Amino acid sequence: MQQARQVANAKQMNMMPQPGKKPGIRQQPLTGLKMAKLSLILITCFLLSLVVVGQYSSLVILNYRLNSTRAEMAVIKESSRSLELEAARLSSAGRIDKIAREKLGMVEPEVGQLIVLSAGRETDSRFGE
Amino acid sequence: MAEFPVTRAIVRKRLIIVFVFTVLATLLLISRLAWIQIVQADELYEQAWKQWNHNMPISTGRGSIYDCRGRLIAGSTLVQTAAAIPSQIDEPEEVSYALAPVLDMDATRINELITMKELSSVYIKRKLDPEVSEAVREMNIPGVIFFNEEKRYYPAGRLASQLIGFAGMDQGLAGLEVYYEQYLSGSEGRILYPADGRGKQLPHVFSRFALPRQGYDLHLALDESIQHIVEKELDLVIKNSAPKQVMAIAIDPSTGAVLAAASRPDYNPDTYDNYAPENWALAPFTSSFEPGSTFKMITLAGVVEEGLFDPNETYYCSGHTVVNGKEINCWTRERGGHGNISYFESVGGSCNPAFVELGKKLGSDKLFQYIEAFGFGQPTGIDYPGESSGMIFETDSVGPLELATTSFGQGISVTPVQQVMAVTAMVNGGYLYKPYLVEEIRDQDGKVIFAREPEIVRQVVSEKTSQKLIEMMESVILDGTGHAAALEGYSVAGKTGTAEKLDEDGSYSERDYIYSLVGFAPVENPRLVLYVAVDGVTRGPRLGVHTSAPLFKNIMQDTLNYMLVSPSEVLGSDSEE
Repeated sequence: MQQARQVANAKQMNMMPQPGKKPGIRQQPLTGLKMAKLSLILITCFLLSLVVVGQYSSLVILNYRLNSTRAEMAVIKESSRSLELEAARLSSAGRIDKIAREKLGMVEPEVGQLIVLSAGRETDSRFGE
Repeated sequence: MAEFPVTRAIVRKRLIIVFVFTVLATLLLISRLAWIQIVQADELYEQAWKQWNHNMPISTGRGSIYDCRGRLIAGSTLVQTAAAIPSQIDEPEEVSYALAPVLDMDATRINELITMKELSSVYIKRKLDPEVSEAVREMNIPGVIFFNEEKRYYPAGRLASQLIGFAGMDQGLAGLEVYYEQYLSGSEGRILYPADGRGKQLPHVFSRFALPRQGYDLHLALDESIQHIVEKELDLVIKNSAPKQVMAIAIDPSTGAVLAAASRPDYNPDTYDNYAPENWALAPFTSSFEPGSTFKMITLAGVVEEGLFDPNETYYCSGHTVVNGKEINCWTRERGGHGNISYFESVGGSCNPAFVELGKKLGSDKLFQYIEAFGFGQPTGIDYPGESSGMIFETDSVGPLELATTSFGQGISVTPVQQVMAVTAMVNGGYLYKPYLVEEIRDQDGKVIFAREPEIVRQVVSEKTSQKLIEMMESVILDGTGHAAALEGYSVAGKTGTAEKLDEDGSYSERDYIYSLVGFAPVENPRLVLYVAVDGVTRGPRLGVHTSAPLFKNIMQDTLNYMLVSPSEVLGSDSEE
């Protein structure tokens, strides 16, 4: 009797789903080849992602450099414009005229003191000297 | 209890059901995605764009203005503008009270500005002085930002201020600055930066720039040195004669280019709002008045061209003539008139009755034909805002009296630029040019966007007539009313004018005159045509010989020296001493 019960239990145990195993589905163990394929795919994905991240970071660095160069250019351009304005102010005829008269005590030439000569034209040499 | 066996068929059935549900769910999601991405895309994108991106305008660089030798006359420099990002300012009231004394603004106004939450950014005060912007920057207030804007700068100060004009905060407001606004101003740019839900700029995310287009540069025909000579002499006249107005304009007779133009009173472009708006305008282009005897050259050109002028024919000037019962005086009336003079001499002597007679010979139709052909009664088309066209009689309304007065320059109104261009036509072979100020427009790389070619409007008189007119104008300086404008060493020709101004009652004033002189040098190869006028002298001698003639002479002398024009004749040893 007890032997018959043990046999029945054993049959029942066989029919009960065991933990970690789906009932009725046969699990196939991963072969070495499949493992290698999977590993290769994972490594490739990882490498690709590294390339993408690397590219992105180099893009960021280049962008920083570009912006920095642009800023430098803008500063240099502005500095050039300011210097041009300052040069124009310093060389303006009105300012030079004022300095010449007021600081250096210069006066305009009298009539006859300034003669414009032209090549090939007979002019009194005394005025050219 | 009976166990239900899970067979392969059941598993397959369940898998199919799951698969169908998954497919349906996926299709549903795809449909929804398509709805969002395709149907609602524009609307949602617009909403998202507004949420993510904040933008700030960048004002463009205004083009510079150079003279004919590349000398800078107007340029721009960067200054700081203070702005606020309202969403980033935590305590607006405190910030307002802190900023008010530094920016010299009302705290309430600042508070209004920085609490405009609906705006991503708002100006607080623009184009600050460097020390003010530095003081605000040192306060280090979160949400108060700075960016660069350009401020107009005129390195030569008042020089050519009426011609160049001035620019306000964002645009030209007078002179060439406003006339060439579309070229000078360029186009505005923008900074777009991504921000979070609170409007704060996301760190490490790049802003995008819509780059501004720099304005184009103007290269003028004007020469800064000649302009300086002209203005220096105008200031001298102001000092000596204290006139209401004095003006001058210099033209290159071979092209119609304006080499210099100025009038007094003028203004300082850096503080333009401290001056009356009348001072902003350049009188030689915008004001018109009776020309007086300088206009006799038009009548003369007409009779010479029509073959009605005999230089040796004589005329008796008694000091006045009568037209339609009205007496027309000659300036020599008090001393009994010119007496018996030839028509050639009447030009040098500027005899009004003789020119009334010449006007009669020409007839009103022909006279007004020449007046219009020389460009009077219409704008010359110069590239300057607000040019006056003057006023001449309608041909239909011209009777004997109008014909007589017009013949010697009374009863009509013309502008100095019209007069100088008419004389330019008389001395260059008869060609009336369109005057111009801007010779070239270039972009920032120096590429020429626009290059001016001298434009001949028409040939008014023949070269033969031109030569005769030159001879007669030379006689005015050698032996006539313009002798005070003669230059030692250079041959000069021209015509003087004394225009009577109207009193308040509409009659001609006996004290208020405009003394003018238009002429050129050297006679053998005209390099410069110059018009000067002195209006309403209030101090010192009141004749043209003491006012307009020395002004003309001094400008012409210095300019010919500057232009390295050789003297027409060799000076004698007396001059040297």
